[in-house]
Amino acid sequence: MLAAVAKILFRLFFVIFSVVTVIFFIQRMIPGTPADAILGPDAPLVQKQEWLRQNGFDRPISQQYVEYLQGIAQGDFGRRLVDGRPIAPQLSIRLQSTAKLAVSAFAVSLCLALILGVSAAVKAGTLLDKVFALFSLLMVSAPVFMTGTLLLWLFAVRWNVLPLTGHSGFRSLILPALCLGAALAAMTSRMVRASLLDVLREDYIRTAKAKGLPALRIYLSHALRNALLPVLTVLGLQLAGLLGGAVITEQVFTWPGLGTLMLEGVNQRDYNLVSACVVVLAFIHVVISAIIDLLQRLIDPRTVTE
Amino acid sequence: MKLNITLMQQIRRDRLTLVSLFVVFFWGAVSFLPVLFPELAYVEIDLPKTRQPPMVDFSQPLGFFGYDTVGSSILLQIINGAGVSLVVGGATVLGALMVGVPLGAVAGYFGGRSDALVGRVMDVLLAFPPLVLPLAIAVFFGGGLWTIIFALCAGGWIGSAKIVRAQFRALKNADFVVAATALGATPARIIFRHLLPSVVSPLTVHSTFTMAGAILAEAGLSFLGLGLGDGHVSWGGLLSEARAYLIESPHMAIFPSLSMLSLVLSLNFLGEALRVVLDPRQSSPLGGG
Amino acid sequence: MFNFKWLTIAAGWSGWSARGRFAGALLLMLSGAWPCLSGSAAEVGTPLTVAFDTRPRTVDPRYVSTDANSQYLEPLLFLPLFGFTEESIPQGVVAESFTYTDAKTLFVRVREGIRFASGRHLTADDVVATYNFVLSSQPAASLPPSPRRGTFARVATVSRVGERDVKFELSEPDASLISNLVIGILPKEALVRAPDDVFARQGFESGPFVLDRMSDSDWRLVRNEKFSGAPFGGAFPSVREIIFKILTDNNTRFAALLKGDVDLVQNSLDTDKVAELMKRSSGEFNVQLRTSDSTAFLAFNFKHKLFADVRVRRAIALAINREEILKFTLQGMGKISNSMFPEGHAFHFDNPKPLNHNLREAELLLDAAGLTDPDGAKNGKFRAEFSIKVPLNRERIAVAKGIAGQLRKVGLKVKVEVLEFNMFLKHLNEGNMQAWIAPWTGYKDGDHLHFVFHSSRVPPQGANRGAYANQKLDELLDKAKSESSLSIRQKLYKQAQEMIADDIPYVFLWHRVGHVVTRKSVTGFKIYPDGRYTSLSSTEKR
Repeated sequence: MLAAVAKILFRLFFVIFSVVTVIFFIQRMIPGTPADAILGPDAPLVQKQEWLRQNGFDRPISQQYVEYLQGIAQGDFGRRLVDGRPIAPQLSIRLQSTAKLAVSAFAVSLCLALILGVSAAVKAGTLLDKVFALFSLLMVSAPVFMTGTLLLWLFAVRWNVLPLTGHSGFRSLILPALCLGAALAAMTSRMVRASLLDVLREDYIRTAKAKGLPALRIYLSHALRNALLPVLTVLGLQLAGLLGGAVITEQVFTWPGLGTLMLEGVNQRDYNLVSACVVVLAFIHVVISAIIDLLQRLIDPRTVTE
Repeated sequence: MKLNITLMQQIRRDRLTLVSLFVVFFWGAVSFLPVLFPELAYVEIDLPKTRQPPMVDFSQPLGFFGYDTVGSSILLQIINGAGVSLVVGGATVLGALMVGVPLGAVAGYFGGRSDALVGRVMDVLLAFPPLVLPLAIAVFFGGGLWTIIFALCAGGWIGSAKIVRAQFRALKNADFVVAATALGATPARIIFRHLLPSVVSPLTVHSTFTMAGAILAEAGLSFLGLGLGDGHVSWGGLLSEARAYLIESPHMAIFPSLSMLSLVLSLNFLGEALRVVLDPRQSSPLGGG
Repeated sequence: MFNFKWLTIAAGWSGWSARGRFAGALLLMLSGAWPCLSGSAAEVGTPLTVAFDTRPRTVDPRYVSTDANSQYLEPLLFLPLFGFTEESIPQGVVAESFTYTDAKTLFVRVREGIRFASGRHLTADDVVATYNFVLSSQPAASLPPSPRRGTFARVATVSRVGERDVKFELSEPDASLISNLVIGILPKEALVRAPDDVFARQGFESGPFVLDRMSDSDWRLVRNEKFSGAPFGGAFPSVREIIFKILTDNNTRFAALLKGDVDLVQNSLDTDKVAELMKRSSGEFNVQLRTSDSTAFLAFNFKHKLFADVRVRRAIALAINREEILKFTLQGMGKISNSMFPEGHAFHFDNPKPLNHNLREAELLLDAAGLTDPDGAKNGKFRAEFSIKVPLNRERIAVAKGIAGQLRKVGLKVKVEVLEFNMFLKHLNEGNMQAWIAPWTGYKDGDHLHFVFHSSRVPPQGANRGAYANQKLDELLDKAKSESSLSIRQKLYKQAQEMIADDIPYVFLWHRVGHVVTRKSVTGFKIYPDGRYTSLSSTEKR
């Protein structure tokens, strides 16, 4: 077990290191420097060069890279190039709001997936099963920026029951969480259904049935528990993906999350900001995957996941 | 329960599969129209027709679905966009397979270092927040058709690589492989003769979903302003433009939405149906299990 | 066509009956009486909310650069030496008067009696310190140099003379200097502080408002209770609190206005939404329109040989039907123009030979230039083809497409290429384009023509991106730059613009008509050509 943990930690470190490196170099390859974005299109070249020098972008790239690595290693994300404000506080605010959205969407997705998935498996082959299948596929097939815009118009403007932007507390969470959650539930519910059907074919379920246990109890206490094991991985990855920021959903619902912050950084060529967002998100992703990995080993030692 | 259902049986059994197949073929046929009739390939800009609503007037068939913000026929753009969507979807799938299958095969069959290497690369790519890599690539190369495809392939190959790797790893110690090795078969022969056929089914299913996902992802990039800036008409581009006029000119959104929904939904249905056909252990409500 | 000449339309007012006005007056009286009953509670009221399309990057006058929303907020918080009249002529704010003793020496007298929110008087020392900070390449320990430094390349020193005068010494004459003295003055003790400190409520503001809070979602300004800059820096505010909501999505801004989340939107609604609001008869909204200083044009790259012939440039100008594009893509929210500066601007040039839509003449010119139509306008083959690059902006893309559609009618095949904004600039500054569309906004001085058309101003030295070269024009623009008399400069720039009109390096299209939409509870906001927000200090909300 200890060896496994060490191995996981090493992988974690390796992945973060690679992500930092890749994002560092990608950004410096993209045309346009932060000086263009900050000083404006018509600023004289001398001034742009001066700006780049002042901010240390004229030094050899290897030196910049090493310094950046040192900063990250000390947990220092630097300052925003646009206005010189430190990044860390902004990042933590945005992270909280992204986490809020991610967790709610995840909860929505989980509830929906369980309800849809279990009832579809229990009623496999019936009309209900088909309707659910249709519904879930419909949810993954519609672009979220269209459904989101439509929902926003209906609920926030036409019927005026929900807020328009993501700045009004709990009520502004409802629409984006539903939108994001429903799309995810579509995939998860299919998995729950498939997995549950597999389990229901197992001998012990038949035995339980033969013993005359109530059907509901069989499903809930015996079958579901076993069926959820394989789904766990997918759920974990989903949560990690959600925390990775749903850029489009955030844009549509004016949700002040990490995704929009990152997009802002890309548009302003703010190297520090983009790197910070990517590194934090990658870190979360890697940690969650590692936790899932460990959990699986604990729950079912037979699985050696890769 | 039947153990093996052929596609034909599945189609006969389930109307939805048939309809889905028909829809996909329909869009495939539509996408050839501009090739066969070059006059359809030019989308006329005629400002006085700006945002005219749909009109059924057989002397002006191009106006059936109305006009967009510069007076271009929506119908004509949907016809031209069909090909673009299919090319984006198809090329992404092909690209993903071309990268993912060899890497997955090498990793799964040889294991050891090559496996670790491929595994690490996948770890790193997966750790990037979704959309960051496509975004960076689209910004870097300036968003054309092939840039978008490249951007979508960059992360798209991982899924197929994982499928191939898992399958190869599971099968490389199977009796028939061991026997073939004992008989002196080269690794190449084993991979191509014995192992690859076993991944065709799951890959087909996976590719269908990938294709649907790629078409949607292109729409998402268009929404973020990083779609096809090079003059290609795409459904995603039409939709993100229509979004501004959702209430005043709903026709701009409805027809492209329906087109895209029909194609993506059909691909997803087909994927489900194929899963039933090719992987009998799985059952699908659409096949009645 | 629509004729918007200084036109202000109050769509909402027509529906306002006498009874409504009476009720309003009654309400006003009641609200006036209210404080007597319950102290200050009623004075708080609801804040005035304004929609912004992007987050202002900073309002620290030292670090404001090209970001428009930062520039709009700056004078509300920090008073500058000069503002501008409606004709874009500099007008003293903190400056009481100015004199050029020679072409290279400018004296500015600082007005007496202006105080910072802390209560301290604003003095000539503060002005000198602020400008010296901006001019310096290493202004203070650990603080980066100001992005505004480039504007003052010709300023050698800034110093105080006597009690109230500030002397600007130039290395070379620069007539546009006054129009650049718009930096908000900070108290000198604030200059050593990092940008973050300036924002916290420290009493550094001298404008009608002080900054109370800024976040990614909104910025809150409250009334500067010690405001003493009236009337030059705006009226004493009647609203106690203004919230700038940052709504980046066009749809969302419009929806927020309809929903009542936002009271005021300026120049950031799609034109069709403005047109729709004007059609509404409910009287919920007031719409003000006014020709702005934003010039739309199609520009040519002279390195592309197709555009070397003036006949081709003229033909393209004649083939464009500006009325049609305005009507259908901008809902008429543009005023056809044939020169750089809008009507009413100090340097406006009324082009006597406008290039109005004329297909026949365009075709003849193209024929004369040797570009004949191979298949007689059947549109299978073309006289020539080129591409127009546009930044990612729905309106500009639509305009470019409209032009492409029209040029096709004279046998020119035009491709529209859309680029992400930074990418677009890179292509333009490298000369990697044939023709492009992007507006000029926010210039005040005739010297802008030097920046755009002088042959020495090819990027990176300026914005002559099409590498246009005209020696006579160069001489004229140089002469105007070292001239300090306004009337002589006006004459020189008029001549220069005549030359430009004949040579057509740009096809001028129109000046955008700006808009302000307010809910009917809001009164007193005035629209200006440059889209400024200074009249927020005299805006009321009932």
